[in-house]
Amino acid sequence: MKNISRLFRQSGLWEELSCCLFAVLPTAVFLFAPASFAQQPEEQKGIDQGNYNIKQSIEFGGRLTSVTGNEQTYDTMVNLQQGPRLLNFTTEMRSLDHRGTFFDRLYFNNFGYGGDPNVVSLLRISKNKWYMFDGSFRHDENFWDYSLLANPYNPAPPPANAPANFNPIATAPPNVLNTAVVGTSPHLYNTRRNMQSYGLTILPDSKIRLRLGYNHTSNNGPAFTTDHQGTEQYYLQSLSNTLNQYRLGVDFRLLPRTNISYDQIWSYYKADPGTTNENQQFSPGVGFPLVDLGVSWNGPPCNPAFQPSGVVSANCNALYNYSSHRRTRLRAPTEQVSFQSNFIRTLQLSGKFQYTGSDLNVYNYGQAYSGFVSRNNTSNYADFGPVSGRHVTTYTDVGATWQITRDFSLVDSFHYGNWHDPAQYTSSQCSFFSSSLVIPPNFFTSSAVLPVSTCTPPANALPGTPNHKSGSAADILVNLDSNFLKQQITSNLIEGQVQISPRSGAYFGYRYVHRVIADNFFNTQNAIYFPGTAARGNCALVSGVLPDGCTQNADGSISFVTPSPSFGPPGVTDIDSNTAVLGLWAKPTQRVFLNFDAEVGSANNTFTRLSPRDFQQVRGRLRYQAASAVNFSLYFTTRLGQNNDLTINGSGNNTNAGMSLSLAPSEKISTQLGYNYNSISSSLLICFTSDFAQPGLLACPNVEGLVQQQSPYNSRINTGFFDVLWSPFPRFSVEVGGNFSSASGSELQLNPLSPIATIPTGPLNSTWYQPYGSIGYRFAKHWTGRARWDYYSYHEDLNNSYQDFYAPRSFHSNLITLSVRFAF
Amino acid sequence: MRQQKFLTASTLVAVYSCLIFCASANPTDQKDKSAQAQNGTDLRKKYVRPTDPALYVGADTCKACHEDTFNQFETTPHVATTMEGKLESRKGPEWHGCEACHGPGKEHVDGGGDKTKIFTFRDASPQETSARCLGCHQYTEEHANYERSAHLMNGVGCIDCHSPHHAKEGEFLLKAKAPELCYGCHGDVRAEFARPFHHRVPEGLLTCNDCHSPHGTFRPKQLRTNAAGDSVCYKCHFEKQGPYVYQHEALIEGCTICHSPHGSTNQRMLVQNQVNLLCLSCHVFPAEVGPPATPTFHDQSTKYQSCTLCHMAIHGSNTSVVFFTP
Repeated sequence: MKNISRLFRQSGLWEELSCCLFAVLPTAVFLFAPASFAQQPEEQKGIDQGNYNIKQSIEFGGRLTSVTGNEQTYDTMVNLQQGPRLLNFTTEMRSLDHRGTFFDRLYFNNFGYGGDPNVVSLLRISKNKWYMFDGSFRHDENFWDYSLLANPYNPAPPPANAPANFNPIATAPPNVLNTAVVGTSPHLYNTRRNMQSYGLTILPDSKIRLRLGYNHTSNNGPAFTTDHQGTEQYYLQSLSNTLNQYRLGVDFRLLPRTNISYDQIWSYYKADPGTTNENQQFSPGVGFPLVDLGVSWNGPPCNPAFQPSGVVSANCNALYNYSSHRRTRLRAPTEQVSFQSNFIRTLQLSGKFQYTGSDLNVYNYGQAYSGFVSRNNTSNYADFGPVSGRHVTTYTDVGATWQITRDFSLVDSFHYGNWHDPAQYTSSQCSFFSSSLVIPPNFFTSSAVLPVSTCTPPANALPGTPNHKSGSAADILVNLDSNFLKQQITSNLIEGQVQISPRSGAYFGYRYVHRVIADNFFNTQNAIYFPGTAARGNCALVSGVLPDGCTQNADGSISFVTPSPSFGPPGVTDIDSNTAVLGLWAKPTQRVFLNFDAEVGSANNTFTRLSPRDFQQVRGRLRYQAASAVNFSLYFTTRLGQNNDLTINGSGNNTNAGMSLSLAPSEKISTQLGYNYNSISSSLLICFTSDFAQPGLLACPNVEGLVQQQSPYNSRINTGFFDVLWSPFPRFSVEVGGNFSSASGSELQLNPLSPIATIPTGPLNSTWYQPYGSIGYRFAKHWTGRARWDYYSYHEDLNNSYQDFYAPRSFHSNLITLSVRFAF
Repeated sequence: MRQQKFLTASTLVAVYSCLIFCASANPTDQKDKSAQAQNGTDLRKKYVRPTDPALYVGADTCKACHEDTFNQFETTPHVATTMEGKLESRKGPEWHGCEACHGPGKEHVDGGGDKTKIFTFRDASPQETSARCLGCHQYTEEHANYERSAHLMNGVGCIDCHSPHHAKEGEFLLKAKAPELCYGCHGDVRAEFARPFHHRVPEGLLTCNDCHSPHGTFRPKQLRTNAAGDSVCYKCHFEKQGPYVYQHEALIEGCTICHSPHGSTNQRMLVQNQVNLLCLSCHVFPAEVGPPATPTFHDQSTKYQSCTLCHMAIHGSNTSVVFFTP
């Protein structure tokens, strides 16, 4: 559908059709409208039929799209394509005497069917006292091809002797053909996420209430990815992820003003992805299959990559083929007990306890490739084995509001959370080695005891001594990695709430948070290193002697078993943070609402360098209703964070301020407008290495070869919107408006000495405009014709990088939506 | 440092201004107080519904004077309170019809419609008005935390979003459609959703309510959780949660350590436009505890500036300690 749509856009038909439709639709609407058609009363009062009042509306039509510029970015951000659409279908039914046979109320709403990226259906049915049902289906088509994601930022010139129409990615857009520039995102995907949710409450008003629920979420579709095996090969994945969730809950309301609930939730997650390499396009010589040289030529896979004949050099990192598969399963039962009580009238209590013990298993995992990795001479590699793990969580929350006096209450919120994830992977790895891409690997028949007996030599392998390098992995390895990660968090927020008057109040409080994060790691290996260079890796000679765990075998191979494997000392991060909170609100008149809140806190430690040790936040809002049709609001937020650790020297500031105004002076016209200013700035010390770094930078402490520099990041975003709806006479309406966003900023340039900017600044300096306009005309009773125009414009300020020159991401698009609405 | 001083000063000024503002609001309140004192009610007291049937007049009596309001009320689910057979657990006149919310109406009727003799939501505090609603609506998980919610603590009561008599949205009797209703106060969030990379809230796929509960939760920012009590992000992005053999431990700080959840001008809603600058923020120094440093061969003028080109399983991996494969 998307391809057809693009062809249509490119064919020029759009221009012709849109012109015609623009002219024809309004004319038709006016021509066919009965001249004597009287002014209609308010459109949707519904009809009474049987015991129900029924309101229904349906809007259907079609979209026409024209895109200039980067269509991939348009599809990433907007993705509204051409074709017929169900724009809206809504049915509401209400029992007139509230004694419907099967239901008292029904609400059914749908939109997006026919090809829009977002499709939604909602259904709510209830029969008071007997049941309530909620159901929803949501579909999200998620296309992603923003070319700055996972892009190696290759130089433009293709490598010497490259074949004609050289392109690192076989399916890349043609505008970058014969350059090394990657014009798409190497992580392009086009997935569909379907989210279904159904909930049924039986006897909602009774003392014992039953709740049933089912959720089904899936995320499927093709996705490209890269993998580092010598170079960055380009793989096609078939994603298939599903989560099924079943819920059974019972509420007991046997005590006065008290509800106790028990829920059992069972979640089942499964993923069955498959991955293959479909980017083999270069020949290593006659008689050899084509190879994938990867997407990265910014640091090429070999030098020279191509011989004068255009044939791939035999010492290149390249892949003949790759495949991987797995079946991931996670079973997660959750038990939940919750309560809410106002049994003591001055004490409101609520609480929840949850326990989940989930089991993870990855079955049938295996990956295999053949090709050549020059750094270690690997020509064939296979890796398989079971993965298992657990995710165990315990959460306890208790909240209390104690009304001590009529004007003062004490509010307390306590949270305890503890989760731990033990997981392990027992990997069996088989490696075969060769001295080049075009020489078959050798296999060695060992008389020693092998760690695993299922390493089958490749079909083209020859008996002999493998061509190892000192960096070659073990020929056969069974590796067990066991990781453990946990976090325990205890927090308590106590607040005093003061009712200054019915129109004003305040609160002040203190939040204490204690976190303990711990990880631990266990590894054991059972390996064999075949000759020629058997003494390598874990068995490399130390002062001419084999290390502990290594045993010289009679056939020249060396076996290795990890001596005395044990868990190392756990890494523990202990964080205490203390925060003061304050808030004030006032409604001095019915028309004014003002609130203000602030937090000031500090922590004695952080888990990441990005987290602040000291933090402050101030927020304020003002809403003013100058008249019944005039609403004004003003708001601001400032967040500050600092981490004065000498190795971090971090600070951050996010300021957000804005206003909005809505005016509806008459039924004929209404307008809204707003503005928002957002400023983000942060700075912290980083270490890195670059051939083109600013000269004179200090060396990074403790890491030889890296330099340190303060990394500032500043972004200022101005956003404005307006909307005017004008209905000069009852059957006709016009709407114009738009959202406008502009970003500008600056950041650390890691390569200031590079003559060509290697990395574009991308969206840091960009504009995003979405103006729109529509007209609607009610040409007959219940019937309205609509024409809507949307314009999407995304523009990035380009620098002198190859990526900006050959694959800019800007686009402009016009979207016309013509529709007819029938409503009663 | 200068910003901190400015912030502290502006905080003090704002607090002082608000206190003055609140104090200036009191004269009106004093008038309210005296009026309430006259009819023996105090709007700030915890409301307990009187059970004496003699104090109640029934909905039909209300309808006699407030016909328009009643006719509108009849189209809402609340009309069930006027129907004896519809109420399973709340019996008695104090739970019936108009008086279930407005309190007993006999004095009001006997006083010829004296407005001071009946509870009106207009003059009451958000806590008081909300307490009336919560009398029926509190006993579900959705509303269990409302009294401690950031909304109510900041003076946002039920009738700031819901209108039992003049709702513009039939569903949940809302004053306006979501998310516009939320944007009325949270204009900054509206601006975030207007950025080029955003969660699909403006498109109607998602609602604020999917991640936040307007009625409060046990978590900060009124955030919901997934079924197991973990981050709400995993409700939809369940494939990112793991557990993994090799975890990207930054996730312990939450998804927001790298992503702006509402929207961003940066790709993948990242907090920084260049991935490598974000990664380098943490992967700096070698440490016994914490993330590994950037290797010295990761020359930032070559492909290494695109971290996820190789470390593609960035949220965690079961098979690669450096996240090369999922």
